[in-house]
Amino acid sequence: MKSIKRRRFTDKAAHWVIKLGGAAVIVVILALFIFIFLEVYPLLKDARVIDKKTFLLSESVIALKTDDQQEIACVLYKKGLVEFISLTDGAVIKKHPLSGLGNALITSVDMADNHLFIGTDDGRLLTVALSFSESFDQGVRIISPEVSEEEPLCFDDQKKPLKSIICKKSDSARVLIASSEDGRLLLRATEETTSLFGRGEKKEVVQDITGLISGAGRNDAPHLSPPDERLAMTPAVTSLALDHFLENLYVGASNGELFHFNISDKENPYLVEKIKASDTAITALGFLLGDVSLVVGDQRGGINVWMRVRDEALASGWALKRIHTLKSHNAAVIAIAPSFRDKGFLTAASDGTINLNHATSEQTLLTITTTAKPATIVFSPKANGALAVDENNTLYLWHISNPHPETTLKTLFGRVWYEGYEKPEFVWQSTGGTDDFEPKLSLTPLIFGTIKGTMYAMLFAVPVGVLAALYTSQFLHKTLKPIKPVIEIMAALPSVVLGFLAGLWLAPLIEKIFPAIIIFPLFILLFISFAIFLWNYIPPAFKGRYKHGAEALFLIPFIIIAAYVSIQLSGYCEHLLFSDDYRRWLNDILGLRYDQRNAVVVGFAIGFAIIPLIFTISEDAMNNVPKSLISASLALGATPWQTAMRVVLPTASPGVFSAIMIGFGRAVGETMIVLMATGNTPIMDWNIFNGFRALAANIAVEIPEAPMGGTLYRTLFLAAMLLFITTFLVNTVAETVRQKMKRRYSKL
Amino acid sequence: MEILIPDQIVNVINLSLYYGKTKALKEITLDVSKSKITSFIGPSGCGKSTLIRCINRMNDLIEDVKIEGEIKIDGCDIYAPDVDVTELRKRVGMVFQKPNPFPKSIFENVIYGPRVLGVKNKSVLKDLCEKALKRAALWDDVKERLHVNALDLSGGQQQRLCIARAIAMEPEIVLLDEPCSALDPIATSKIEDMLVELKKHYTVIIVTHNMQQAARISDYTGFFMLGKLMEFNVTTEIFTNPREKATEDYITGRFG
Ligand SMILES: Nc1ncnc2c1ncn2[C@@H]1O[C@H](COP(=O)(O)OP(=O)(O)OP(=O)(O)O)[C@@H](O)[C@H]1O
Ligand SMILES: [Mg+2]
Repeated sequence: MKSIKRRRFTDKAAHWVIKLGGAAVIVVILALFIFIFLEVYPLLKDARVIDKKTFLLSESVIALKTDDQQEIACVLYKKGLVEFISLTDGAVIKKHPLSGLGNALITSVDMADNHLFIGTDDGRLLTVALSFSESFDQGVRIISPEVSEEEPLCFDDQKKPLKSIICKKSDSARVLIASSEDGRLLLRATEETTSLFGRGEKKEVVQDITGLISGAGRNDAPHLSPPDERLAMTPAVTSLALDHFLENLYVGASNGELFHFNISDKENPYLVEKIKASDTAITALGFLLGDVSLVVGDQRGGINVWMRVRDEALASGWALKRIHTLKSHNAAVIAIAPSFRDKGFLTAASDGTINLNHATSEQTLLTITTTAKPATIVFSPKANGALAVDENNTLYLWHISNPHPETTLKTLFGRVWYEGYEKPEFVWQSTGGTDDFEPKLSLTPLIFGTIKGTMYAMLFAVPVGVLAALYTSQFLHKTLKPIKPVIEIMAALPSVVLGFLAGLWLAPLIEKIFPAIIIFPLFILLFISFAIFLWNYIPPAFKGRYKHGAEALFLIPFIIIAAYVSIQLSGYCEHLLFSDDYRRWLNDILGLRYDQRNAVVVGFAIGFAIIPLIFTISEDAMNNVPKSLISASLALGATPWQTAMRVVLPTASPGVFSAIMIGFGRAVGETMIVLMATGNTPIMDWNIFNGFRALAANIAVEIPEAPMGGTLYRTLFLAAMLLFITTFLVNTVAETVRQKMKRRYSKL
Repeated sequence: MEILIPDQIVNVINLSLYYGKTKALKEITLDVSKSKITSFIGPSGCGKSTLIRCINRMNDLIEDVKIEGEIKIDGCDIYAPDVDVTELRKRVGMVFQKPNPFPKSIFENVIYGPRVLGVKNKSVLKDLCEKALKRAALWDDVKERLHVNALDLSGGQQQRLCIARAIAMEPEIVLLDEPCSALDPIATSKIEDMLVELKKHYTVIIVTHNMQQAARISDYTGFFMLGKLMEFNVTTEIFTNPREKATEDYITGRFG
């Protein structure tokens, strides 16, 4: 009795332990998946407002600025007062009336770095420098703003109000462009040329360049004031944009035309291109970070991004093209504020809607509203907040969480038109040399690379592995069976060793003897035929001693001789077939570029990694084919080869199929070999002589560059998730197919 | 004790067979008559299967087998070095002790031999299949479901399928190693009828443990013991008037 009880208990305990173990495995895999998913998920989330604050100001505002921490706002009132307001409690920290303004009114403002360039209604320009200095007092950070004014400059001789103004500075030069209320466009450039002895020489150019707009092409006499009738025909200038190279000036006009001037030679600026950017008036212009892409907002609320794209058809070789279109506002666009971090920007429309956009991903991430028409908007320096003042004199502050504005499914998997590219393309380029570099994270080239590498590896490994298994299980003599464990040991070889060999030994070798490899199959065929011919003349006594397997041993010297002959003839063959230089020949005749580390090398190396797997599993399956079936086939007059192909292979097919699938899974996830044996160039080209970059290797390459929580970091997790899902799917499909096949043969 | 066999097709001459060092067959000499049924009987382990396997060289598959003596078919030594084994096996079909259909459809099983020979014509293959299945008395059972997996058949049906598969190749000689050991009496009698029918076209050699069966259907009978051929004679002679004491003991059921 006691023993039965105890046995029952052990049974129960074992049952539960096993159940628990199984469940634990499933839970761990699920947890892994959930963890990866949670890392990926934020990529596709929209931006959101974390916190919103409003402050009522006393008067109407024309310009706004904030510090890095969004603690202090600097506000410029129309009547000429600079005020610093604490964004925590709305208290005024400092007031600074602009002394240089006198009785004039502010009509336009341009902000650059820490400067305010202020245009007045009597044609003057004020430059105001702002700075926030930090100090610590007993561990508390105190930010004290400073204001300093430069001497006002008389910009317009005719003393007309300056409707819009733009100013850019470089180390040695400063360019000011302003449009006056009566439709003139004025340029003032100061250039400092340092001579060899360090003595600066100042040169100033003052020009009225209105003629560039009204007259087509080069303006011959810009300094002469244009005739009145010409002025009347000139479309009104509505907005200006100048890049920091002080070279490209864009002017938006009320008839929807966009003018592009080259002002690199300040004395002779000329019109490069004029395009119709909109059917209604252009109301706002703004450069994105990097000053290459131009955002154009129009009267109807349309927002487009334009860029100069290489175009051979044009004389200049470049043409302005619309590369992105963003979601429209319902009313005229009145302001554009770029981010200092990425290609994101804010747009404000006269109906009080403010959109947070990202140019490259073409998405509008967030829409926020003010109660009245916005007067001015600004993006915080860290792109984590937006400020606006509306015509009711309310100051708004939004804290924004917008971690991954550049990512959408389209940027991850589709073609994207990046700045500097001629057309939309699949690009992976995570880091670049400059600060304003835009990471390009398309997974498509990596998926392509993975497929390419896997395919070439499978192309090599499946026939070799399966046929080797067939040979070993069906034809090899018993005394030669120790070959099997030797091949199995190959599977234990760390892939880093294989990658090392492939990259540092095989790749240069193949490059050196490439023509030999091309002619090798021919010679091998020739020598094998010769060997078969000789075999028939060998005395049966010798053959009998080795039985099955002797053929293989007999072949080995012939294969070695074939290889030797091909290598010896390599140079001659290159001369004969490839006109002396196979690389050039490939390039000229077939249009294929030859990389030293290419898909052939990787195919070989991954192939070597997975051949033992495919071999071992298929060999086991083939060995398990009942001997009675083989006897039946042989007794029916089938040759051993026919038996192998018609009985052994089909009967072992579930096992062979699993073997191939497991090999496939391994090849997809293979990292070190791909990493070491290809150039890791994320290009999309089936060319077998090119390298590629695979998903798994990419993760290894990029991890050191990926700060935690960043877009690259999460994109790498997405790559991991893709690999995870692929492996999961492949294994599931493989197992179901295998079970199905097994059911067919289960009655054996 | 030598008897005269008319119309000889197979001659086994002084045949000895060693599995490694054990001698499984000891100096066997017998002749098989054409278009007759010859049966081999004897206690378990006496070497009947070994001998029958020698006739189509299936022993080649077993390692460490050494053969002395000769087997001639139509006067040619089948162990001569220039003999093509697959050709031989096409002429000498075999049905094994345990049914061993391929995990393929019934149709594919039956036409395996012709297929291997290179017959591709569908209608020819269909005719061959039907003819073979009819001869093996299986046609009525399976004509509706030629494309189901052969492994779905019962054991008896599988054995008849194996016979159909062997005779679809139209061999000259059919070797059967205890074809009825797994069958019920009805199936057994069906196969016996079939064998008698087959005799018109083929030479049949059958190993059996069933004395009645040997007595009923065979024309000649050989009795083996411990690797030796004890007695070989016309069936009626063996069963009514055995010359050897051992034979008599065995067939009367005193041992074995
Ligand atoms: N492959 C083999 N390797 C070694 N010995 C074998 C082999 N096959 C058979 N033998 C031995 O040869 C002897 C004859 O075996 P065989 O199978 O011919 O007997 P059998 O008469 O067919 O018996 P059964 O009636 O039980 O089928 C037996 O002693 C057996 O152990
Ligand atoms: Mg037997």
